[in-house]
Parts: sequence; C-alpha cells; structure tokens
Amino acid sequence: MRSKDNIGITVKNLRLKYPGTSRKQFDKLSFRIEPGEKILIVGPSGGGKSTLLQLLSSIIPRSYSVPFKADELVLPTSTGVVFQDPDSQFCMNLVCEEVAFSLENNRVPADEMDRIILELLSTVGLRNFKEQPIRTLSGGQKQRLAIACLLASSPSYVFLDEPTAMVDEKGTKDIWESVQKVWDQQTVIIVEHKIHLVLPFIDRILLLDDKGQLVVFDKKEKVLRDYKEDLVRFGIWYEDSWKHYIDPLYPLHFESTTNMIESESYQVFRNKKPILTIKDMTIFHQEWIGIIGENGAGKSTLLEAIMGLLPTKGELLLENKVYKRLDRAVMMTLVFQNPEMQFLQPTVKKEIEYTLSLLGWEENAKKYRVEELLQQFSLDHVKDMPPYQLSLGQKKGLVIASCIAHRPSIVLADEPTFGQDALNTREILLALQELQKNGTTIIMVCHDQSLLDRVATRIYKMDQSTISENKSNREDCNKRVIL
Amino acid sequence: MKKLTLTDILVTVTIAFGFGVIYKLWGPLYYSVKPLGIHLDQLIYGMWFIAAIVAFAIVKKAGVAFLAELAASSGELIMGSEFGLEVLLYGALQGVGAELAFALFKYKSESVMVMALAGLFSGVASLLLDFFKGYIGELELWNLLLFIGLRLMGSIVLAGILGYAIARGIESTGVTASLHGGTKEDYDALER
Amino acid sequence: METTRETWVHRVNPISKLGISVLLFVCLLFLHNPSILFYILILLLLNILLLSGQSIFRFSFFYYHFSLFLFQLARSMILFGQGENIWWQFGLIKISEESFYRGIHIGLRALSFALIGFFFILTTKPTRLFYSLMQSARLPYKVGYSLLSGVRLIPQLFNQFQQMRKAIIVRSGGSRVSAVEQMKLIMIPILAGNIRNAHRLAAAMEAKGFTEDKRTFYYSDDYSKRDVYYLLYAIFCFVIVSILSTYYPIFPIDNVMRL
Ligand SMILES: Nc1ncnc2c1ncn2[C@@H]1O[C@H](COP(=O)(O)OP(=O)(O)OP(=O)(O)O)[C@@H](O)[C@H]1O
Ligand SMILES: Nc1ncnc2c1ncn2[C@@H]1O[C@H](COP(=O)(O)OP(=O)(O)OP(=O)(O)O)[C@@H](O)[C@H]1O
Ligand SMILES: [Mg+2]
Ligand SMILES: [Mg+2]
Repeated sequence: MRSKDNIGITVKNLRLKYPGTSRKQFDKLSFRIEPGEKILIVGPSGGGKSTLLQLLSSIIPRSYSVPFKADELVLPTSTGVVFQDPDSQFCMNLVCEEVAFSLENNRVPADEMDRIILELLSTVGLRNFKEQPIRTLSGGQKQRLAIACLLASSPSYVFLDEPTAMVDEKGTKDIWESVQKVWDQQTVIIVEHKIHLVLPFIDRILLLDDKGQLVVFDKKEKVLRDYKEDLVRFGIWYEDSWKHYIDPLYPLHFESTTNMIESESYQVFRNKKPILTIKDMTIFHQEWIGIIGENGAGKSTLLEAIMGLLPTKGELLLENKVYKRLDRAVMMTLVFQNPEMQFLQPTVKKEIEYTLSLLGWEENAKKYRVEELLQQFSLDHVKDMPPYQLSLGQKKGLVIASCIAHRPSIVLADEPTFGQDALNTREILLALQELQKNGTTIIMVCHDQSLLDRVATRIYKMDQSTISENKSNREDCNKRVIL
Repeated sequence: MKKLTLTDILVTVTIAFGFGVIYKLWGPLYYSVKPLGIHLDQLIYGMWFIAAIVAFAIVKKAGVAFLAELAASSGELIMGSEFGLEVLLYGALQGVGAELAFALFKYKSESVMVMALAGLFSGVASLLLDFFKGYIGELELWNLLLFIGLRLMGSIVLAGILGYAIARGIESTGVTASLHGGTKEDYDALER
Repeated sequence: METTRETWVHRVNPISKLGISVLLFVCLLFLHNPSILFYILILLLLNILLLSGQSIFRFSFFYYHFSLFLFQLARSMILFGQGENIWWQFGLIKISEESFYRGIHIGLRALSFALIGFFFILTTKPTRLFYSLMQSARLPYKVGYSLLSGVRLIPQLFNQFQQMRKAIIVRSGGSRVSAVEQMKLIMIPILAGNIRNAHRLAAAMEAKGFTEDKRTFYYSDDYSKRDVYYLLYAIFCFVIVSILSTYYPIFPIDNVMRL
C-alpha cells in the first residue's frame, strides 16, 4: 500500500459530466500532485471543487457513479475526507462511538480506543462532549468532530472540503494549527474560500474557474503575485480582497429610533431546558445587527426564538406589539443555518416562486422578481435543477433568495455567507443592504468579524459562559455610524 | 443479480425506519378502528407491508424487500410496539411474500401491477401466520371470508398502490436518478 | 427508550436476552392454558416494575395496553362464535362459553407478547444489540452499521418533521397552509432527503475505510455468568408459574383448544 501511495496523483485529460446536465463539469483537465505536497484548491462556488475532491479520493466512482473518463488516472488508496456538509457524515449516535468507528476500520485494539478517543477529542476541543449524542452538537462542533474522525484513521492523503466554514474564528485558527502539526508528512489537499489562514501551510494553489477549467496551478507566491486579477475575478477571499471592489460596502447610516424588536427577560427553551436568557434587547427599525460568538453559544437558537419557532418565556415585542407565531411570518423571515432543511419545491425556480405564489403576487411581478434574484445570485444556469443537486454555496444562495423574495421587513439570517466565494458574498450583502435601504431590519449571524464591520450597525457578542450563568448574553460592542 | 452495496443497504434501512415510525403510529390507529366492527381494521392492515414495496421501487435489487420489511419491524419494536417480538416474525414473513412477487418477475418490473401483487403476497403471508397463531380457522365461514377479503384488498391498495405512488413521488425529486448513476448516453457525451 | 437506572438485566448479553425472549415467545405460541398465561403476565409485570430500571412507572402505557386487551377480548368473543354453550345471540353474532375463553386467551397472549417485547427493549441498548449481533451472530457489518445509523434516524425523523414545519411557517409569508398540503410538502421531501443523506453517509463511511473485512469493535460482546443466571431466572419464573397454575387455577379450563 505504501509503495503505491508514494507515487502521488496524476490526472490526465479528465472529462466528467453529471447525468441530466447540459455541459461537462470538467473537460480536458490535467495536473499532477507530488506526494507530501500541500495543495489548496480555490474557485468560485459551483466550479466543481467538491466534485474534484470526490474524484481524487475515489468517492467517485466508489460511492457515486458519475460518468467520467480520463486518459490517465493515478490515485492514492489511503485517503481520508472531511466533507463540506457537516450533517451527513456521521453514522453513529454518540460522539465517542463515531471516532471509534474510524478506529474500528483501522483495526485498533478495543482496549486502546478510549484513550485515543479522548486524546483526539482534546485535539479538536471536544473533550467534554465525549458521551453526547451527535445530533445535539452545533454545526461548528460537528465539523470539529469530523476532523477528529479523520485524525483517527490516519490516512496518507488528506482531503478537506471547507472544514472550517461553520467554525468560529478562534476555532478556525486552532484547527488549522492542529492540521499543520499532525499532517506534516501527509499529502494534504484543501478546498477553501477564505484562504488567509491556510496560506502559510500551503505549497501550491490550484485555481478553477466557474466552468471547471484549470486557470493556474503553481507555487503560491507566484499565483498570489501574478494572478491577482484572476483571484479577484473568481471571487477568492484573501486578506484584503475587499479593496479590489469598486464600491466596497459600508454600514448604512440610519436615523430611525423606532423600536423594531424589543425584549425583556426572554428565556428560550430546547427540550424543556433553558438554553438562553436575554436580559433586555432593543433593536431599532432599519438596523443591521451582527451576531458573533463561539460555536454552540446559542446564535441559531436566538434567531429561531425571535422567529417564534421555539418555546419561550417572557415577552418579545415587534413594533411594540405582541405577535403570534404565524403572524410573525408575515413580516419576518429566517434563513436557516443548514440550507437543506428549507427546500420545499422540486426545482430552483419554483423554490424562489413559492412564497410569492402563496402571497398571491401578480404573474408578471413574480416573474420579474424571480429573474432578478436568479441573476443576482448567479443561479440562472441551474434554475431547473432540483435544489439539492446544487453545490453547497449555491444552496445557501438559493435559500436566501427564496426567503427575501417577498421583501419581508425583518430578515433573520443564520450564517448566510458560509461556503460562499467573495463575489457571491458581496452579492448577498448587497441584496440585503438594498432591503435595508428600503426599511428592512436585519439580524445576521456570522463568524467573520471583518465582514460584519463592513455592514453591521451594531454587533452583539454572545458568550457561552454568561449563558450558562443565566446572565445577559449580549453586550453592545460599539455603535458604529459611518457617513 | 448484483450484490447489495453499502449504499443499497443504507438506503433500504433508511426507508424502512422511516416507515417504521408510521408502522408504530399505525398500531394505535388499528386498535381504534377495531371496535367499529366487522373487520374494518383489516382494511388498513396493508399499511404494514408498504416499506418493502417502496424500498424495492427505489433500490431495485434482490433481497431489498425482505430486508426493508425486517428492518421496519425492528424499528417498530425499538420504538415499543404493541405487538412485541411478534412483529419481527411477521415482518420477516411479509418481506418474504413481497420478495417472492418481485422474484417472479426477475426483479425487472416495477409496474403498479407487480407492486400490487407484492402487497397481495405479503397479505397472504401475514394470514398464514395468523392461522398458525390464532384461532382464525375457527371463525364462522362468512366471517372468515370477510376477514380475508378485507385484509387482501387493503394490502393491494395501501401497500401496493400507495407504495407505488410514494415511490413515484420520491423519484420525481431526482434522488433515485443519482442513486443509479449515468446512462450510456452520458458516457458517450464525454467523448464529444 | 430512556432508562434511568441500570439493573443486572441490562448487563446481560443482548443476544442471550434476545434468545431467551424468543424462546419464551415460542413457548407462549404453543400454550393453550389461560391460567398459566395469567400468571406469566403477572410475573412479567413484576419484572418490568422491578428490573426494567424505569423510575417512573408508565401508567398511561399500561392503561393503553390493558384497553387493547379488552378490545381483543370483546372482538374475539364475537368472532369465534362457534360453540355449544351459547350464552347470548343476536342475529349472526353469538357469544358462547368457548368463545369467551378463547377471547380471554388471545387477549392475555397478545398482552404478554407486548410485555416481553417491552421488557427486552427497556433493558437493551440497540447499539449494544447490533454490535453483539455483528460479533457473534454473523450479521453482515454492512447491515449492522446500517441498522445502527437507522436507530439514530428515529429521533432525527421527529426533528426533521419539526424543522420542515418550521420551514413551511417561515416560507408561508404568513398565509395559512392547509394540513393536507403540509403533509404533502413534508412527507416526500423527508423521505427523499433521507435517502439522499443515506447515499452521502454511505460515501462518507466508505471514505472512512469501512469494508466487510476484519475489524475491531468498540463495544465488546462478552458473555458472563450473568447470562446463565438470566436463563436460570427465566426457568425459575416458568416453574413458579406452572406450580401456581396447577394449584390455583384462575379459569375453570386448562386448554382452550380442547373445549
Ligand atoms: N448530483 C449532481 N447532479 C447534477 N449536478 C450536480 C450534482 N452535484 C453537483 N452538481 C453540479 O456540479 C457543479 C459543481 O458542484 P460542486 O459541489 O463540485 O461545486 P463546488 O465548487 O464545490 O462549489 P461550492 O464552493 O459551493 O461548494 C454545480 O454546478 C452543481 O450544480
Ligand atoms: N436540537 C437540539 N437539541 C438540543 N440541544 C441543542 C439542539 N440544537 C442545539 N442545541 C444546543 O444548544 C446550544 C446552542 O446551539 P446553537 O445551535 O444555537 O449554537 P450556535 O451558536 O448557532 O453554534 P454554531 O456557531 O456552531 O452554529 C448548543 O450547546 C447545542 O449543543
Ligand atoms: Mg463544494
Ligand atoms: Mg448556529
């Protein structure tokens, strides 16, 4: 096995096409990766990065039979993958059992397992979650678990598909640091949109364009120096990519002092347990509130509670009135953290139309709005596909498009920009800001402080320790008003 | 016939446990229909055969119907079935019944007729067990015929036809297509 | 199902427990003496009370099953109308002495079946059961781990159901969506979604190196003296039941088949 894994990866003239789509995802793709190299794959959302990773790790065709051909294909056998979607990569009930599953596959003796499991969980910061059911972990915690499992199977080729998209900022740093430490010898292939934290670790960058064509594959210094324009054009995030856009975003100046959302001693429950207590919170009309906080701090819980989807105690006033659940949906919308939980219709286009049809929009207005959103979120070329066949970034874009189609007056968005390239991120933020200009109040959960700084009028920080002490979990950072 | 892969088995078990929940809910419903009299309960009995049919319609391989029915009944048991361990025995036999129907057509046909036949065979299998276990053979003749007739009719409609409809519904979302991969045309298109 | 307290029965090997339960189940199939059944039922109830580890006795659950028993009884009396000693007749429907006892018998038996099943699942973790079946009953690993992930699916299904309802509320824009429409919007997508997830999960499991080859197991499948005790305990219960029903029969007949 070793010997075979020492010859690296060769792809020559690869062609791949998903059934039922009109164009080939890859056409005449060729490249070579030497053993031990650290590679970063970047490219716009929907460019085929996940597909390429699945092919290189033999998931295609082992588990997915997607038609493809290549003149030469040399692939490793000892591979491990962290998937982009945190929810469907676990097969067991408890956290420890899941790590054990990987150990079992590697025939680690049973009596050593508990020690190793604890060690690995400490590495990713999940030490206290050993006996917890996986389904009660927050999104970011699940990604950490996935990394622990990969460590457990110790492959010589490691594939990481946006492993930190949902992890908080500190956690992201931690994870990349541990990745550097433990995978020093291995060949590591990473897909990421936000590249600045991985860059120190990387040897070469592979850039795909939006049609799955190879733009460049070269030493990172060279790519960053000579291909800046392409990186910007294809929306790759790096340190100061914002300044390349002609009209960078600024928080909107607003003067309103009308209360939009107001609450006092508001308690939120999950499974009859209080998860979150909010002492008092006032959000003004037309504000853009950013919410930041560690994984598991209760950000998603807060949004669901405001939407009226969780049992609560205490009062929440909207425009100084108490609203029942269904009435809240008239003025509010919520973009779930996991986009797949929100699809109701068989095609992308119908998905966006759904709410508009329910609200009885007139046919022409509806058509115009749908077209506009499809363009804005670059979903036009996939408009007749079933939603779940989209790439993760496209899915998230679709959910946002279908939630804001009817221009609700409050938008609650749970990590709307995770897994997005810079261009799409900007489009999403612009679309939200346009709503804001017309009077919409926005509450957005996001792990990216610098991004929030560009759009939010105020930022709430949620802190796990204060929640567990049942104190107020929010504090105003600073009220920014920029002209 | 190709062997069952991990994907096939996982998909089958997933469908089965999904219907296992419905099987569990069906128990109280069944008993609440009972007092209405003249075997009306038998009419809804067929629901307990539906997992095999939907699973086969999606996965299309030998052994799937049996596995699905057995897994669905274990799921029902784990949730605390009113029938206790008995469900496993019934599940297994009903699965064999459905499997037989599909085998008759070499696992090639998924028409509504075959699905109805599978429902019917499952119904017959469950009746065989009832005869062995209970005192049904001692029912008065009119009563017995009504009992059998309603059970089989329910099997065909609730398991066969409803199962077929649900499978079509699932297919329309496109998941089955990605389960079965590309066609020859897709491979040919690669050369262009 | 959640158990709050572990008893020694929880630590009996799941396969032994399953084997003994099945044995008991088969015995009951061939038993035609309602008095024995009655005593078995009492013992089962006692066992569940003392050994299942349920701290709060689930009264609602027993009422429910007892009412099922009464249904069975009534139904069977009407169905199995054949018999010589007619007690009551109305048109085609007649109730005889024979039908009465058969009704009782079927009802008691159904109740016992349910309780055996309950006792088994209350004292066995599904995870342990499937691990044991893979290790000593040659259950193929593919099936074993699929079932394991299937078990996890059950609470998840309820979650998904709630999530979908939430999604419908969010996306409704405040307009009412009828119950039938909701079912249609929920049922098929949940099934399709789970099939899709199963496919992805299979890919993930295989990517983690899962095969049918030799492997080690996190939970070992030990047999111990406890398994023997459990068998002896079951036999002991059976002996008590036989003695009691011989000396203190509850019903005046000892075989409902030979009436
Ligand atoms: N099963 C499928 N059937 C049909 N088309 C698919 C399927 N899976 C993916 N695609 C399409 O292939 C393209 C590439 O998808 P992929 O997931 O590889 O993108 P990606 O580069 O990883 O994007 P992201 O950054 O958003 O994750 C997308 O346009 C997507 O719609
Ligand atoms: N369905 C659930 N049942 C029980 N507990 C849950 C559930 N979902 C989340 N929790 C718990 O509630 C707490 C808050 O979770 P929440 O999802 O709101 O965190 P979050 O701040 O959104 O985290 P992330 O950044 O990872 O998305 C966590 O400790 C989590 O374990
Ligand atoms: Mg991707
Ligand atoms: Mg969250």
